[in-house]
Amino acid sequence: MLTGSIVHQLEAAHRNGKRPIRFGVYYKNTLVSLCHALEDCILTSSSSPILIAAFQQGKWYLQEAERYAELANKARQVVIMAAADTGWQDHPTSQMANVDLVSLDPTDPVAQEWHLMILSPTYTAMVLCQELSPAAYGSAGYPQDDLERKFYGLWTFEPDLVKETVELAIAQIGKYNPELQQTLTAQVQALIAEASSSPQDDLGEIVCRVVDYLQANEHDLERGEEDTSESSHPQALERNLVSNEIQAYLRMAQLMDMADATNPMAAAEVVALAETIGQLLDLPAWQIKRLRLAGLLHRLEPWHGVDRVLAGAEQAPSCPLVPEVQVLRRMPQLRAVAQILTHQTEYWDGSGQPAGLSGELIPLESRILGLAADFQQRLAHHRSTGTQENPAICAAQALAECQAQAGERWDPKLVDTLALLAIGVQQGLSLPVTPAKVTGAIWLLDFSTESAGKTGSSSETSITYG
Amino acid sequence: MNLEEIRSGKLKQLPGANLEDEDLSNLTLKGVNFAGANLVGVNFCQSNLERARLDGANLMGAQLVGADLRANLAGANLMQADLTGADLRGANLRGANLMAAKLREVSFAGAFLSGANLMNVNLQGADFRGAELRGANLTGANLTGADMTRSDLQGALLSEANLEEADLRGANLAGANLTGANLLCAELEDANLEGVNIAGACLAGTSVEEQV
Repeated sequence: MLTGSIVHQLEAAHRNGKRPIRFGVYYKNTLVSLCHALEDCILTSSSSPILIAAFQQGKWYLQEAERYAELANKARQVVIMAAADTGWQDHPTSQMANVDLVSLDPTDPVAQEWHLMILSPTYTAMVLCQELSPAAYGSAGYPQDDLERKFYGLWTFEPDLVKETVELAIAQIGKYNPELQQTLTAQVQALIAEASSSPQDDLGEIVCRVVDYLQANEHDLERGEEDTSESSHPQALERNLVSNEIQAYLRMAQLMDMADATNPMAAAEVVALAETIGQLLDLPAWQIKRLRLAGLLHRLEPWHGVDRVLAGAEQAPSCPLVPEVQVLRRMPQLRAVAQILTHQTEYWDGSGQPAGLSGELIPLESRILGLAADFQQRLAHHRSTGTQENPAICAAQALAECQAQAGERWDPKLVDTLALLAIGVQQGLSLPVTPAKVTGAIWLLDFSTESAGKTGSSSETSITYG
Repeated sequence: MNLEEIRSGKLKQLPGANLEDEDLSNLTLKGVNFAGANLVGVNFCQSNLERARLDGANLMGAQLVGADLRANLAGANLMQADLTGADLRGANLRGANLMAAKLREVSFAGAFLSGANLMNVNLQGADFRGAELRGANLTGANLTGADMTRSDLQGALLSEANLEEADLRGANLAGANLTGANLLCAELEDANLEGVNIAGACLAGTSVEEQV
């Protein structure tokens, strides 16, 4: 990381904090699609953002200048940072009243960075990256194809992190244009005041757009489109795109956890519980992997709302398609996971939703996940309401509550397995609760086509206990 | 050799047997003793070999797709074998030779791989959680995005290995050779880096970038 770069400043500010910044690797190919998606969300957003972008060189901005005119029509302020290139000031977009160009000194570390920061009362997102130095490519050598240039950094929807980074950028801008710094500071203050009273844009829709744009890029790669045909490593580029598609969902799930002050570790704990239950049942490795991914995503709003959406439905003849559930099905690799999540609210006695499945007709992974999530939620509740000085009592209480619903809501044999696990925990067994590494999450998707095809229908997943 | 007796599960003691190129796919072969057997090119696809003895066996070019290999494979020769989707959790692979093996979607969680030869093997995204890899040869291996949390890589050979975005939280890398390795954005929180040789490695985006 270049000292004094914005990526470096943000990393340094969080290095010894509760949540150190974690970085991922992005090909330029991925960044183009990702930024287009996040930028285009501005056009459908219900509010007007401040948009700060860093383009390394003026020529990269000029490639996007037409699009930026459209964005500037919606934004309250657009700032473009780049090392000056001839003619970049003259483009009509550069002349717009709310567009300011900041000509970076070519020796400024920020001139090696690619940033997109969007801060509005209803929508926040950013991509924050630094280009890999030519020497760091090692024996692989510097890429021939421009789209294979590598960057490292992060992207996120986290409002606090975006706001913090915008402030770092504004300070950087102040070194070149103190007047613009003042204007931006005042605009951010006004915007924050608005934000507290504005309902947020639907993150689900935003994530869908990100996935759509990355997938469109993937299809271009597969077809060997003109501008990508020179790529000598289409598989590496494709993998990076798929990795970021799954990251989009994981980041959405992460925000759910962060927004829940009394249960911020739900995803990591449910994954540990579900995986341990899977191991006690001696499930095969591919099924446990799928269970882990389902656990990481189990809290996503769409599924959280399944009960509510269907509360009004009189009958559930087969499995009704809850529109929100379809979000995950955009990725073929995630269809099996979507099915697991859909049925985690079924009841063992058939009185649950969304399909009223009963007994072993409920996919096994859905049964495990539903129970693990309910147990974890009860555990977190007891921990947050005073008895936390004795975790064993919390676990015993949560278990007793789950046991009371065995045979009615839960698979009785799974409740027995959970009881075994709870006893183990009381006796000092520690579950490996590790917060997910969001970048590089691609490993989660490496199901063989065959095992991915095993969509968890009852006949294939019913297992013998013993 | 009576193959039907093996397939039906009657014959379980086959140490040193010659089963070259035989079809033993989709079978339950739990606990069968194939120690030191000639299993070159054998087809074990989707077979259950849990707790089987395959130590010292020659499985060169064997077909092991989707097989349950939670077995003893110590010193086995798995060169060019196809292990796609095989279950190797907790397997004993000490000193095994896995060069040029196909290892997509393999799980090595908790496996014992000390002294194993994994040179130049493609292990993208592989699950090595808690695996024991002391002194294993992973020179030039592709471990992009691999999950190696809490694994023991003491003295492992990882020069020129690709560990981009790999998760090495809590891993023991003491004395490992990482010269020229690519650790771009690898997670190294709580990893033991004592005496590690990291000359010429790419450490951009890692927590130790500024300390080394």
